[in-house]
Amino acid sequence: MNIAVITFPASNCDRDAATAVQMLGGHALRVHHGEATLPDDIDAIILPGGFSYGDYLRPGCMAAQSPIMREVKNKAEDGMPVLGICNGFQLLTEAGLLPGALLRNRDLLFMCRNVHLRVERNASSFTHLYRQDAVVTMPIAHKDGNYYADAETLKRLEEEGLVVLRYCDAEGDASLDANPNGSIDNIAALCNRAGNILGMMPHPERCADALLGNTDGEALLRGFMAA
Amino acid sequence: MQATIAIMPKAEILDPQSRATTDALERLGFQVASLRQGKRITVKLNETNPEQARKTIEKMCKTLLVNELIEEYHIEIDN
Repeated sequence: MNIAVITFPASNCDRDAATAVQMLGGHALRVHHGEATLPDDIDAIILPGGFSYGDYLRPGCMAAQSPIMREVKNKAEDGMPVLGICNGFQLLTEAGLLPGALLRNRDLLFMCRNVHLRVERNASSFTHLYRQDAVVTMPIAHKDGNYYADAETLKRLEEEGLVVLRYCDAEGDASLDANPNGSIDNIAALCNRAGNILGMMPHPERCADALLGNTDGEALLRGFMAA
Repeated sequence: MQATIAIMPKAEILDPQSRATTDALERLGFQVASLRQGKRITVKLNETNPEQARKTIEKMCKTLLVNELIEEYHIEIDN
């Protein structure tokens, strides 16, 4: 299982993502954003977290125009699994690979803490190792994670079951109080219709090692790697 | 030729920055009926034809400068 991990200027979770992939038995290939092509033998792609281009203009917007992104788009449209984490999720929306946008957090704060998430759809290849409606804990670390989509898009996302993770409380209730950033309908992760592209604000690569005290992200990464 | 691009969050977007600025002004005793906060970008082009300049700036906006899902923009071309 060869996984390309793309590094953009000011990516800062690329090494963590590559380490997590290696720990789970995959082979991580680090790829620079300036490359025009991806290695031939890759099976999946990770767009890691960070603050590419200093979040200038809009988070992820400049990284979305990187030379490597043309190739990532081609592979994604051919069905290759693509996982965008945090800045990677912002980038996927800016690149038009996922609908909607990520706005400044409701309370304007940089949120860095653990959150509860409800697995909305374990039919997705990314989450099939979780129980449907399971409540898991993962860390978030972002200032622009307030998911927004227009009413029509939102209706489609919900009808087609494309919302994969939702912010919730310990009991699994996706309440307003459990929403850390103002995301519409508590959306924390969503996938495309084909199910091969997933964008998420929480960081599964930061909770896939028992040494870090939490392994709730492991099943997601395993699901992604086996997709 | 110089262009000025005003980029604003769309009216239907609940923009936390504009809300925070409004709240701060109100705490200072100002009465604010409404406030929207955005970005202003100036671009100089080696272009003498205003029509062409507008086309180029328009393309810049659509390619990178603006996310039309959440923002709207207005271009002014000056000599």
